[in-house]
Amino acid sequence: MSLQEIIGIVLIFGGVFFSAVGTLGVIRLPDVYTRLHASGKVSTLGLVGLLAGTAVLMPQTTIKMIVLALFMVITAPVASHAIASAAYHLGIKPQVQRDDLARRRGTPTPVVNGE
Amino acid sequence: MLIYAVLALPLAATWMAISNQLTVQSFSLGYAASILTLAAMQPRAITLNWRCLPDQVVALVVYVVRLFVDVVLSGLEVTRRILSPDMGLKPGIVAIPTFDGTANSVVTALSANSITLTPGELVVETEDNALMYVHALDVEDSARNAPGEQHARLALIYRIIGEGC
Repeated sequence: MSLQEIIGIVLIFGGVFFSAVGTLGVIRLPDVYTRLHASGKVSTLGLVGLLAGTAVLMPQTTIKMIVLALFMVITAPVASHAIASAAYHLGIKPQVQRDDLARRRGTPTPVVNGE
Repeated sequence: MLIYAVLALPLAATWMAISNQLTVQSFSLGYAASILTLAAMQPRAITLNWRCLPDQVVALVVYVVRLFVDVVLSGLEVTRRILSPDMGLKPGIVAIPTFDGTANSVVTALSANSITLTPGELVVETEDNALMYVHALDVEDSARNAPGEQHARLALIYRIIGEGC
């Protein structure tokens, strides 16, 4: 096995690992907002790892993979933000110790409920 | 405007990279589509002139590289929390000012994008392009550090949009 293949496979396994951790996070974390941290960030890292691994194993796709990674990194936060904003507007209460947004709107601060 | 013709070049190159066709037809198609898109968008919130453009491009590259670094760091940080037994959560929503006196919507968008990629923070809502409501996994930590980080970030974002150039 060449060095190129070893690096590529390590990157792909890293990507798979972070995708799996992202999924585990969605199950373990307590509410919508904390879960978005797992699905938005850890899964993005997983995808970037997969793309980097592909670029190393198939060098002719490198430019395409860089552009794809760029799109992922720029759009992933937008998706997380849109879901969080929609959840808040629908009145889904976050489990928080402090909520400046609720205070701003004059609604009572949601109950403190740490896991 | 002539500057659109230059701005469309990297967009057309991106198009060729995605379609994987390094041909004249591919370039022409990408270039025409880029010009039309730019003309339709008329990016008014961003300063566009020849003198400022080089520094704006440098700042944009720095910003994107930092986004990639932030993706890795925040991914690792959230992974550490998920895999630790108690997850150490102190979640909360904290208001962070953009510090942007011009209330420019592009500044807010770029700031919010960056903040969502910093470890343990996620923008839920913005208000009048002046305040961002940020959901944080560790609210005390974020309330302490985020305003300073935003202050530093704002300088780079001003360079990207050419504010004061």
